[in-house]
Amino acid sequence: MAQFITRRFLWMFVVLIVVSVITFFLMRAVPGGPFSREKPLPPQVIENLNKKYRLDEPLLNQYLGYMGDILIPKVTTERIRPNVLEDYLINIPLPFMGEESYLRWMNFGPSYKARSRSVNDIFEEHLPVSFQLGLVALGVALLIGIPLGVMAALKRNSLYDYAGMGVAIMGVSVPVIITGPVLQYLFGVQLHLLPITGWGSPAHAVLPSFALGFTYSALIARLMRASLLQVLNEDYIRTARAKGLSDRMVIIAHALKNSLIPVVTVIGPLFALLVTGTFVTETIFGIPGLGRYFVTSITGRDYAVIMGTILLYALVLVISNMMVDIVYGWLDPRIRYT
Amino acid sequence: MSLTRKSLRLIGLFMVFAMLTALVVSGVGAQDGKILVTGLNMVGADPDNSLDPSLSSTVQSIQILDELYIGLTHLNEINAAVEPGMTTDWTISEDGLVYTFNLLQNVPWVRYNAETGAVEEVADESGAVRYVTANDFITGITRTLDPATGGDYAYVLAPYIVNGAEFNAGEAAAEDLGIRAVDDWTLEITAPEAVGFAINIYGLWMARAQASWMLDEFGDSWVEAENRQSYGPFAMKSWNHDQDITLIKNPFWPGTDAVPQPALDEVVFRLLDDTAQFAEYQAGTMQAAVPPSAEIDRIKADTVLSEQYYAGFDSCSLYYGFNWEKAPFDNVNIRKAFSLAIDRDSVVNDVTRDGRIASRWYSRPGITGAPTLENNPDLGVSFDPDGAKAALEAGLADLGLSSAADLPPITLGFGDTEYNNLVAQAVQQMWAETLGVDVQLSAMETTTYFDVIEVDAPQIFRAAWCMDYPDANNFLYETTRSDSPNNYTNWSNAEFDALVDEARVSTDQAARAEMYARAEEILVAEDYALAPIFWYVTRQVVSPDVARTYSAIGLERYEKWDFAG
Repeated sequence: MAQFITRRFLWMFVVLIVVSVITFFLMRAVPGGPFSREKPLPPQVIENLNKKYRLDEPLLNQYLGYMGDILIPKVTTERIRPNVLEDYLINIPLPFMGEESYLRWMNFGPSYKARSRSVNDIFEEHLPVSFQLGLVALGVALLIGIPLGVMAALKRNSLYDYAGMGVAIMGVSVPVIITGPVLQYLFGVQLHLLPITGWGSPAHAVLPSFALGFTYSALIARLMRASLLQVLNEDYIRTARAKGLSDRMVIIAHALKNSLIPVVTVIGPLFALLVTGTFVTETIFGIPGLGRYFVTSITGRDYAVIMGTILLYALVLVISNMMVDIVYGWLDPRIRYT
Repeated sequence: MSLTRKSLRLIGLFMVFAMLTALVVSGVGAQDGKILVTGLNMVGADPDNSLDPSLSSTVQSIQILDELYIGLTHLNEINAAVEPGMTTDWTISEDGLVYTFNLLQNVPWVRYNAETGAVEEVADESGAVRYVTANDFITGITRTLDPATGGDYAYVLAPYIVNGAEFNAGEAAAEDLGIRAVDDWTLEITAPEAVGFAINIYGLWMARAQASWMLDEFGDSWVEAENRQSYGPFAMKSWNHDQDITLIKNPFWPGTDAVPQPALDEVVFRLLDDTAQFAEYQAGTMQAAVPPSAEIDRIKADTVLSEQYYAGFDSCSLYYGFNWEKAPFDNVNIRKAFSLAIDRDSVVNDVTRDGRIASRWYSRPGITGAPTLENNPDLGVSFDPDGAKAALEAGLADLGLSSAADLPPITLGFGDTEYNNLVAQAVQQMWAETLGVDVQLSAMETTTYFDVIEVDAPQIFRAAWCMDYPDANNFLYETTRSDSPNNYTNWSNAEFDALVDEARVSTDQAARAEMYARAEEILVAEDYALAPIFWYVTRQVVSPDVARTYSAIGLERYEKWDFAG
């Protein structure tokens, strides 16, 4: 297992490098730049800005500079006046080298749109919010989806089944852009029960996580139902029943674990998707998450933010896929990794 | 019990639990004092460029900056008149080149102290209070013009200060700038040429006082609420990025006729999408909001809401430009035909429907020098299907073609947004019906579109201009003059150029208005360089509990707002 994890971590490194190369050169190939405006800036201003952000250097140098800022730690001995070009994630004081000496590592670069913020600032402020929202939404999706799917499978072709799957289809078909405002209107404007927008208290998380989670609970319910139905037809289930076990024991002790494998497969990428931020939900509910930056950085050609958000997404995706593989091993002991 | 019922129970319990938690926890503590929650001018997320006077460029940022930092001159929001800001008065030399400003004395720099919960004066190392001096204005102006700062709007200020443009281009030093502190309370600015509206420019947001000690200590993070120092009627209490900005009354602001002490204690600016804003407004948690365009019909039909709706001034003017270098728009009759065939009233009444004003010319009425519909009712162009058809005939004859079908393929380009698409489709229909011409629509990704029209605009292209400062010079001299980099039509007319050149330096406002009216006539009704479509408005709903002023400049002055009763 340890060997497995180590190998996966090394591969993760390779994947991230490849993603960074493709993203970097792709985003620079697109027309327009961070300083394109409807009212064009005078050429001198653009020249000054390009010089300040080192955008006038050859592309390869810019790429290597960017990766070097992230990967290579460096020691500074003088006080750095706070500025967006030199904002490091990790600052370890080195008292033995002098009063203002630090080991600095991981500078993801500045934002060109929000000129006083670096990518680190954006992550620090907005990633926790998206993470919390995504986690709760995933919880909602599982808490609604799995019981719904189990129930539909057990009572196949009954009212429960049709009702359950009806709700599931509705969940998949009705997007957040509709469920969101409907919930806001019902619970916020009419009933005054829950806050309509914003973030900060558990009350704020209820409506958005429900709106977001409901869509994905449908997906999980259908997967759960299909998978459980398949498992229930297996021979060993018939054996267990023949042994005299109660229905309940059969399901819980034998069928459930095996039927979870397809669901867990989906949870990996779903986790990555939800936890890094969802643009539509965050805009509707006024949640200061990271989702907006995925979209606005591209339309605004905010290069460092694009790289940062995409690398973050790739990292979370790779890690959650690795976790999914490890959970497989627990769910089905027949699966072993070399 | 059966597993099914257990599952259902589980879901049910979870929902009830969630509700109860929410109910228990959501009791928002009532806050004392007059707190106004507003979303006007705040649609979208964080203000670009960080609420920094030297970097900011959007109305959203300027709205906040105008409350934190008062300029040398101040624009009255009701009549757009220039009033004293951080000054008692000023004098202009005989030749119109030297402006001497007498500053308000003993206005302290302040900051909000989160621990004490109060606004406090900023003191230097010896404990003495720091006051806003002429040197602080020099710090601010120099920083704005410094090429290293990379400010978007330095180019607006630079031409009106000696060596401003040279310094910004890296060809002169900061010491060469035509600004001088005669003493702590007297600032002298020297302009390279005598221009009537320079007094307006010196009051803009990029020429405000800035605190050099604060910049040294905090670097780029000076903009955050815990570090920021300001001196205007409000101070910044908190800034939660992408969420809200809270301003708190500054008790140390002396209060002048133009900029009084605020009646409100706090103003909370919520950074929300317009749909979310309107939902909050209807729930009563916001007192001023921007409703989405889709709701306008419902608002106007509602007896209560229609009283609260107001279409405020927005300086932007939309037009379809013609690229003179591309056939058939090198022919004046073809351009005339396309311009006259647009039913502007139909566009604003049937397509956009939120109060936008059908425009007859380019520059926005309400700004100094621009023609107005009251004074110039017959100026410019309007819908004239017969005139359009006649012009098309004449144009075809000029080009030696027999019918509209022989025209080369024509493309209308625009950035791919919902409203651009709607308007383009409507106008495409109008051209097909009136002229019998089939125009191709080309919707491009917005940022790509900006690049494309700079270099090689399509035959017809959508563009809009929003004012940098409220003077017709900004529209007519700086965007449509023949040598302007913003002139994508590639049009030029010597008489037009002469008119805007003269109006630029004249100080006789009546004469300027006449010149600009004549210039507009040439632009849209003789040469048909572009087809104006409409002037924008800002949609507002404001609660009747609020006693407000109605702004004619697009920015609200919250120091004059109060709760009614």
